[in-house]
Amino acid sequence: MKTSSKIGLILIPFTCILLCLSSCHNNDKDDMTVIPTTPLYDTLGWFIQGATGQVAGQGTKMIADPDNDGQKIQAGRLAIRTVVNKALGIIASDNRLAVYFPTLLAEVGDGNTTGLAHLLNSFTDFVQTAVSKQDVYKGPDMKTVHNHATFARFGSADHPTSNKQDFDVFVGDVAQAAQSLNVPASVIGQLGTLLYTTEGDIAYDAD
Amino acid sequence: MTMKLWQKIKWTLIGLVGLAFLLFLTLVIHIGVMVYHKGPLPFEHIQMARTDFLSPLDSKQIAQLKSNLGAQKGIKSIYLNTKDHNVVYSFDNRENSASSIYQNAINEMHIKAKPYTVSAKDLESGCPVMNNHSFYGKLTSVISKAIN
Ligand code: HEM
Ligand code: HEM
Repeated sequence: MKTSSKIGLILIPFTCILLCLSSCHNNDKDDMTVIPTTPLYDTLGWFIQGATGQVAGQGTKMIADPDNDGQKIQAGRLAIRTVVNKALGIIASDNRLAVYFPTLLAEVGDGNTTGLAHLLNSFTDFVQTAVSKQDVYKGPDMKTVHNHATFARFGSADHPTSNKQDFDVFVGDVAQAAQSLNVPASVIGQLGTLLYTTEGDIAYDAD
Repeated sequence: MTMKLWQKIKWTLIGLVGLAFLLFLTLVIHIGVMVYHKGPLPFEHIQMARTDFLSPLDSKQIAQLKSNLGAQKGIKSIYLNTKDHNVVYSFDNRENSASSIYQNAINEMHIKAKPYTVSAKDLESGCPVMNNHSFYGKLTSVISKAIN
């Protein structure tokens, strides 16, 4: 083989990867400009900003993130994250559920990213995706996640899957968290309905 | 003859080094695509810990517990579960640790209590990238800092 064709062998995949990468970046920017939303997401955003004034457009409104210096966050997402954060504390204290969440209560070295931070983020992504129809959750599907055999951080060899009763307790804990934050009952009802759409994938004995 | 052998070795070496380089490049770009536009995680260093009480606490003990915990450095939230008799608290793990909070806030109250611990086996499962001390963890944070 001639030297030039050998160099080509290395250069061609290199260029392909670069082209691919640059096209990804363009897509990201396009996504930022068109933000579809839903009434429930707007209501959540309106609620977290003090529940005054008009509701429409409040979900995707960018506001300062109270828990992340110098960052901005969609108001609707902040509402969801606030509820999820509270709910994870209740879940970790729940004897029935704590066995499934070893990473949530695991000790990590100082300065390391915690299991709480990761789960808070991915769970918020998931709920934001479900509520607002924005495509932010990038993780595996719910069936894969909620089985120890396919997702190591779920449960343990002794508790590899969860059942319907676990599921009810889980949603109850999320609802309790929302109530303690004074989220309006109608909003909690809608969130509950949304969460129950995943029951078939998460509780192994769901009908 | 020796010249040809030399050539073969040379091109094999160039090929291998090139391949290794390409694979490494793919890894770097792959991580780059994953972390691009991801700001720092909120609550990145907020850790949760739990202590179980062997018998229910009375209201005086509850008040004492809450004020003890609240006085600890880096504490962010306290959730008392009166049904299962335990307390879950969260704290900034750059400022304090679960065991030192337990020692200073709960152990000194002399009530029957047990810190909730997770077995080492459960801890091992997980993504190496999320362990900031591993090679991949370090590589990921370097790339993240470079492109964000
Ligand atoms: C209400 C419906 C539920 C939804 C929408 C939901 C959603 C999720 C999501 C999005 C993740 C994160 C996946 C990732 O990191 O990529 C997750 C993880 C997890 N879920 Fe659920 N979940 C639900 C119910 C449950 C129930 C009932 C249990 C247990 C009884 C459970 C246990 C877990 C565990 C143990 C993890 C992994 C935690 C970790 O990463 O440390 N989930 N769930
Ligand atoms: C920023 C990029 C990455 C993200 C967000 C990510 C995320 C994840 C997540 C959520 C898991 C599931 C953890 C679990 O099942 O317990 C996982 C597992 C894993 N990841 Fe990554 N990952 C990334 C990059 C990488 C890279 C670059 C490597 C290796 C070169 C890698 C190797 C693995 C392995 C080996 C596991 C399985 C660990 C186990 O199940 O015990 N990941 N990753």
